[in-house]
Amino acid sequence: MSESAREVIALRDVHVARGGLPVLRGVTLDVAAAETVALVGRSGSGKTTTLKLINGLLMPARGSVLVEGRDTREWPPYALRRRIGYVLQEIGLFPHLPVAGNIAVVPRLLGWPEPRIAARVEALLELVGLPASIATRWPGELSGGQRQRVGVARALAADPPILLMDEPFGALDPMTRAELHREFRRIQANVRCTVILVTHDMAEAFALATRIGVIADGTLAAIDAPRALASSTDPRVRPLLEPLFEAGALIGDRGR
Amino acid sequence: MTLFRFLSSHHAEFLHLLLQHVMLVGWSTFAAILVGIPVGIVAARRPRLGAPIVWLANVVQTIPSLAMFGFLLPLPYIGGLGARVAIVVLILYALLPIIRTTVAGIRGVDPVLTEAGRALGMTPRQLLTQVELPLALPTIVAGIRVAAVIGVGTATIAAAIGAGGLGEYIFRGLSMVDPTVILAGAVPAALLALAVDGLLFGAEAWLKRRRARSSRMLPAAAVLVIVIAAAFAAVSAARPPREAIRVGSKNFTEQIILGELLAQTIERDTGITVERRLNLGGTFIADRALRAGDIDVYIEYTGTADTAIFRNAPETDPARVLDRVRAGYAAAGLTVLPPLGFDNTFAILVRGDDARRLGLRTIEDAVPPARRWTPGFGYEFLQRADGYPGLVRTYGFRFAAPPVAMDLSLIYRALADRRVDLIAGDATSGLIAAYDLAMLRDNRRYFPPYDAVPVARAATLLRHPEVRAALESLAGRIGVEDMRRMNYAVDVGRQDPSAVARDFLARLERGRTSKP
Repeated sequence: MSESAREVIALRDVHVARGGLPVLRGVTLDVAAAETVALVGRSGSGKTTTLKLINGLLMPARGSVLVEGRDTREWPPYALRRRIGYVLQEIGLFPHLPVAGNIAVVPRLLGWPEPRIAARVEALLELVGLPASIATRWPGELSGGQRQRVGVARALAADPPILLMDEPFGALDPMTRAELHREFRRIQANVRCTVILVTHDMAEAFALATRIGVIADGTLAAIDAPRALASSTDPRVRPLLEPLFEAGALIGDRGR
Repeated sequence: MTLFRFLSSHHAEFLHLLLQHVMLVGWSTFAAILVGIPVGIVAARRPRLGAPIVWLANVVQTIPSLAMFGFLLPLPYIGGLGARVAIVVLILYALLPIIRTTVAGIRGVDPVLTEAGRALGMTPRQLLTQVELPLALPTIVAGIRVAAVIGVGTATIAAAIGAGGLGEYIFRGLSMVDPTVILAGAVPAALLALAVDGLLFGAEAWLKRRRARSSRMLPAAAVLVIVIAAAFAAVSAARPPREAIRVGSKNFTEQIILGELLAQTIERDTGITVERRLNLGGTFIADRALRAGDIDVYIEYTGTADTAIFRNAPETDPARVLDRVRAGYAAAGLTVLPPLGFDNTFAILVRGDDARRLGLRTIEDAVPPARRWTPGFGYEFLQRADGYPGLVRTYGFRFAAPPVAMDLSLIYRALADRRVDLIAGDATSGLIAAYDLAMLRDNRRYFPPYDAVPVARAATLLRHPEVRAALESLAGRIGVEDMRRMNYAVDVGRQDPSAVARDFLARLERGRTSKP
């Protein structure tokens, strides 16, 4: 099995500029199938830009982005996005569609027959831990946690091999957040898709990711398994780890 | 109560006008939706294109509706009379609110939602139809609601160009100074606006599901106030200060020139200050102003006074008419002074080329070709005892289409432009020569004489005998050709009525000094 066949997503020396200012300056990243990679960094460090490069909402100024071995410039853009689930930070449920309609958006774009869509909506509600009765409710009637689960269900609706999540749990209270972290691990074990998760919270990255990438000043400062990253001495990585030490989350690793 | 009686006695006509009104508003709003929403979509997508579009629609909105009707009337294809021009005007007015709310609705969609749509793999078209338009729809419906309610109000003015609708009652009532008839148009129009508003508000609220606001009464209430206030504001007249001779006139060119003639003659011969209250309105408004003491003198026409004011059956002997009118006015403390000399009878007019081609000289000659013609008449002529119904009876007219009702100021042009084929105008109109129209002789003497006479308050004449002398100095001095020339100088030559009157008086003066 060649190296490139395993890589579902590959960024090769990617440069992006916005309004004359560089946002990404030479990012290279390989993500293998069924991995969960967390991208961590301060606000404005280029995390969201990286996600938009992967689903073709942005094109790199230099370098290339490969999805399933194919350059995003060569992908038909709408087909690419329909193959990639996307959970927005603000969730962005459509207020004029009921829960079932929101989940069914991508299957309808793909022209699935209605019975298949109905069955899929039911299965997804169960997967994300929501009662089937919620299907006819409106987004405005849901709690924050319920909305987040619907957002995940919508992203997973067409069974995408790749799932992009942009600060998906950012706006939730700690209890709901911890519950959704557990749910996420369960779902991920279930669907086994490749996940790229953007967060500014290192604790979340540690809780969910198989590898963590730190983005600083438009470059990938480090990328490693959580435990390996915890012992990093890189000055761009240490500040992000500090809150974890203070909270005692990594006590066992301190002496290494 | 009188409104109720009027409506029940006119119920067939009322329903017809109401239906016309609804059709005018309905079709124009529908067309504005078909045009406005796509334009709004383009404008929302491309701000650089959108800004001038919205600006243009704004400018159109600021044109007074009567002026807009006037602009469009002579245009080819959309011009002409009646419903077509009215619908075009109503569409133009409806466009702005629809375009603007479409732009606002689409631009107002949360960017998170459009980004979500894009990230899920929607094409721009899918984004528009599945996200942007559904979310903008309540806002767009609010714009349609505003457009339709404005349309109900504006459509009342469409009656001025013969498009029919409830405005016909308002205009008819205004020219008759009959509040009941005005209300017969204004009240149902206001109720219609409320009904349309309520209906579309329901649609809007239904679309918004939960988020209904309570601005419900605002646009409709505004229209109600505007329609009724405009109707009454036109009727009421303010009271002037004392100790000056107040000269009045009706609201057409000849009357304004005659008002100037009276005013300048009084000023010159007596030195008393004259206050000009010209351009008052129709016959009934001038008459009321005179009786109420708001004016001291104005020029009336004997036939008009006899039939329209004193409601006598039409009479064709000039001397008898003058006697009857004099007696009628005297009872009200008003004095009829000697006639000025010309007879401003109703002139049945056709185009000059038709008259020459068909050899038409008299009204009777026009009866056979009129079977293929559409006539056009002013509101007053359609209503008056000495107007349209008697004309048809006397000559046995059968027209191809029912008469088009329109404002007098537009009627000559309509005839010249072949919108209508036969009109009733004024024998002294300057436009007869300007548009090459031919006046048909009233060979069966249907129309009463319309000798121009000053009518004055008797009390004023007693207080100021010199005013009486000044007015009597004009007796018999103004011939029909003089009057046509003066009307022509103002209507076509664009001269100032006061200057035209001054020139005429100067010429009279020279004639007086050289003749004896």
